Amino acid sequence: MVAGPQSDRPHTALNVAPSDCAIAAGPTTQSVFGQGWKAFLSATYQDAGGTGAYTVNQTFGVFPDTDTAGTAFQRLTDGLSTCPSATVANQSGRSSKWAYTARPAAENALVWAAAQEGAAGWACVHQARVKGATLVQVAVCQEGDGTSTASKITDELAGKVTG
Amino acid sequence: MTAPARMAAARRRRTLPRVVHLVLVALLAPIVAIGAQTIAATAAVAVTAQAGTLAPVPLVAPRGFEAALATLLVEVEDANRQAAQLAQQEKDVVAEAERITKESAAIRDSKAALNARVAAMNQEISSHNEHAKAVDDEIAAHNARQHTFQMPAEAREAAAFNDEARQLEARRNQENAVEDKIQGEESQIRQEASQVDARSSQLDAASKANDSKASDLKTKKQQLQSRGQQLLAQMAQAIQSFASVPSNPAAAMDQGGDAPAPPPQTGNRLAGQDQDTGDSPYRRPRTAALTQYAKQHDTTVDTRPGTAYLTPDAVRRLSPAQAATLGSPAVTYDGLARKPNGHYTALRLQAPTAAAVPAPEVFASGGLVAYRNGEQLPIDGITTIQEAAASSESPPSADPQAGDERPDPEDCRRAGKGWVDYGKRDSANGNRATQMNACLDQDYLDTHEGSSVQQDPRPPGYNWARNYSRYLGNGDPRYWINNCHLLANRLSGSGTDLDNLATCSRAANAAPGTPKDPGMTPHMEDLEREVFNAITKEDQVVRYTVTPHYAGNRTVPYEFVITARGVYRDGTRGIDKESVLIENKIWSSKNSQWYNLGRVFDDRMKPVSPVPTGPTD
Repeated sequence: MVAGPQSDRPHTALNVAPSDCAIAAGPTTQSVFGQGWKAFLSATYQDAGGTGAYTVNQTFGVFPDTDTAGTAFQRLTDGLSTCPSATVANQSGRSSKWAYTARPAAENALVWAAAQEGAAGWACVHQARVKGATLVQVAVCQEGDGTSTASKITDELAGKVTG
Repeated sequence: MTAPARMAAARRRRTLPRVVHLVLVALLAPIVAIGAQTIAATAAVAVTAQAGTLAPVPLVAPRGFEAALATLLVEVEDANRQAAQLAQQEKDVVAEAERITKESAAIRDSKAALNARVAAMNQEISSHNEHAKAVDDEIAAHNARQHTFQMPAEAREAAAFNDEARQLEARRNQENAVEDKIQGEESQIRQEASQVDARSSQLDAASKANDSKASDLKTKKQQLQSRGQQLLAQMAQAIQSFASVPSNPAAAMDQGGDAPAPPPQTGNRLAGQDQDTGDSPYRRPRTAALTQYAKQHDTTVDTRPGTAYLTPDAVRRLSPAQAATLGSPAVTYDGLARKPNGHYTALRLQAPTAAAVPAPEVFASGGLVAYRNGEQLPIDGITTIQEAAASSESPPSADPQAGDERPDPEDCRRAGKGWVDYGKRDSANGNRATQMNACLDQDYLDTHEGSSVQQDPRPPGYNWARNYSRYLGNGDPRYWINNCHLLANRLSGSGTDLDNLATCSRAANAAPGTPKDPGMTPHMEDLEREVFNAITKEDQVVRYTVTPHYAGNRTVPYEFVITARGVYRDGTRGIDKESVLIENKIWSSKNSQWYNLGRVFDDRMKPVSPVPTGPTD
């Protein structure tokens, strides 16, 4: 994997249909993190060949307190529960349709998958955890099941969060 | 005394021959008509069978594009549904035509049987008429004789006369009975002939209706073929528009969303396709065949399998019949052989034990492109080559050399001497360098000294690349942009001959010149060192090629393909580097990501366009 783009603030909500799927389609956007964060970092990595076969994103959002972080986490949980599928248009005008499947939620942890329709097994597996005042998210996009990879990365990242 | 009564003549069937004749005429006429129907029915079968061979094969939407091409997909499905319906209707028409043909034959048999019966009856009538006439003659003779007798004197004669009358009457009655029987048979034949005529008329109507259906079906098929061709062209257009603009899944994730599946590209196949794109032992028989092809044709072969697509124009140039043989504008290949004109020949491998499955003929005439990271690679044709004897189906072996069907290494020297050939520079595209071919040994290196690059000349695109590097937030461009030898200085390559020079990133060329540059592994210098060591430390003779690949008419390559095949003095295989790809990528200190110098779209330019091209510097 090689390092890709990084962002130090969440992007604005995505162009999604239906619009109430903005959270499921853009879990690291302002739709989830809002404006009340204290620090934010999103780092994306891709396969060395640059083919797009593997893409990984790691996002930290640090909030002023645990309540605000919990609110963001709850917003994410609620957003996923109300959106089975959505069509997302990117900046170049391409659109893709995704189906979202949330796994049973644990306290302070969430796992879900976004499967791209018509893309033969292509899916992004997401994990979100709230630890103290920090909301950590990891997404692994690849053909096939990236669950174990996402879990390992999330464990690693969450382990580095203190407080 | 009462005289015996005069006898009436026996009835004769004088009219029967005419009646029979009329029956024959009535029977023969429909037979001629049925014959015509048979031909019509056969024609219907022929028409539908011929149309069947032109029926569009099911269309297959290209993988990975389904989501974006939802509307097109609906149309494709609709066209396929119509094709299935037409195929069913075609079966029905053929079945009906076959039924008509069978029925027609049955009617013809019935009429032949009837005619046979008529002929037999005519013989019977002739016989009856002869007998009846004989009886009539005898009755007339009997009646003409004296029939007044004096009794009792002529009692004996009277009795004899009456006996004769009774006998004649009996014979007359017998003939009349025969006539009654003939009348009955005649009536029966007329009735059956009438039924056959009715069946014949029905069949005629059914045949005409079926022919009409066949004709209608043919028209619909032609319309469907035309629509299928339009859809193929739309697919090709969609593929071109999507694949020619590289998707950026990392950017999509950075924006906060999910990274979509990459589009189908050369060397990057999606689910269900061959994922084995590396040069594993499993692939060696395949690689060997491709390598052998490269050697035989003195070219380089990109051994990564992929998919090639007909361009929209190529689809439009197809005849409807040709288009109907295609389910998709895509065809897979196992490797791409580079041609002197910068285009490619797609290579398809055929396993030794497999039956030949040629690509549809329409693909062989060109009009194909493959896409790699948004770049179009023009393909002039498709060639099928035999895979090496050890089948690619063989499982991987624990012995890395097992199943290695590569050709034995050969001493490439000419008359015992090493050599270097530079490809002719591409004057149509900014005089960019095209290829370096060499056969190197110790003696050659000892007698041919290389040279380092100079301030002048610089390869095309060099100044643009330095400028672009600054734009990417990098510092002094000397540490980021290089003037790359194709044949390295230490391998006797010239640093001033533009045939041997191309603009490259430092990362592609060698180890980083600044800590800010993360660098790449391997880079060109890694391979050059290995080749140098093979020659100078191991006394190998090395066949060595370096080929820059360009995107379209750009003058800065997007990758270098390096092949080095060495042989020791004892003939055993030495260094073995097959089609190693070095991407011409540069790190952006500003954006913390890689950019390919041969592919970037310089967004400082309005409109945004691939740069540099042509004679730009």
